[in-house]
Amino acid sequence: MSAAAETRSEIVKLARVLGVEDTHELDYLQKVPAAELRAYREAVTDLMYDADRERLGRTADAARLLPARTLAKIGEAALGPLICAHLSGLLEPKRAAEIAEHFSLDFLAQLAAELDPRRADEVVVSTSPERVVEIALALAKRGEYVAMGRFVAHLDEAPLAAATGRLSDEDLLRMSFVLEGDGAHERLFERAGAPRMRKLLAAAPDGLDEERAYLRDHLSADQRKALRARSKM
Amino acid sequence: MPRQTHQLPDPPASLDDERAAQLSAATETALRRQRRELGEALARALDHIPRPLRGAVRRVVGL
Repeated sequence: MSAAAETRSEIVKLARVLGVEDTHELDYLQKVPAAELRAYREAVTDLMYDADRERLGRTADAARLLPARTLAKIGEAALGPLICAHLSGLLEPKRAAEIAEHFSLDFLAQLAAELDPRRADEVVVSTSPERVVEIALALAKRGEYVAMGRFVAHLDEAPLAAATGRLSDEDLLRMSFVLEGDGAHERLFERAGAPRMRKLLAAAPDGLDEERAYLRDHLSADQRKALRARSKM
Repeated sequence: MPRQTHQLPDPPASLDDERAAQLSAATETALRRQRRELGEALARALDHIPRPLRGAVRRVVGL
């Protein structure tokens, strides 16, 4: 496994957390071990979520005074995706899901891009597979692969399979470079299946060689063996 | 109400001082941006709350 690729993957994720659009601005981190960058990124994510927790907690309390439809309207028109993402983890999961039903797809995608699914796991799980696919496609259209990669570990098999089936090969490759969670690449392989993975990992002049190598390196020995086997389909 | 202060995480140990400071500055910028966005968003949100409930919401949120 390439240590440089592991670090590159972490740099891309950290850039997203810090709101740094050009990841090359963080090139000075290239020599830092991935584990150190991961620990730093997780600490920054916690800080970003906890820094205004008290004020956001009071906002979540105030949300109890208003109907879900009104809250969705306020969220979309005034609070914005970042604040709504932070609030998602502070509301009752059922209430958060109820409000989310009234958001437009575009806004939900923006919100998902800011969300730390670890803090809103129940909301993510309660989202219908159809909605998950719509959000995944909207995120891919916005190039939000880091956000997509955060969600994989929190999705059940059905929505993950449905989303995998609809995303393009390029989307899957780019997302797999920034996937979070133990065994996430292996799950992705199982959902996509060996024939598609074989096609996806075949060399192509699209500048995604690092992503291909990274995905291949994170598959299990059995899965790599399955890739080498001749397709019988 | 005094602003809560939060300590930035320690930068990766393998970074030299100059790079560590650079990373901390980028983190501080991101945190400030988020705080500014939050303040602006909450102020904007009040305008969208039905007038009879504004006082109650303002009290709960602490605005």
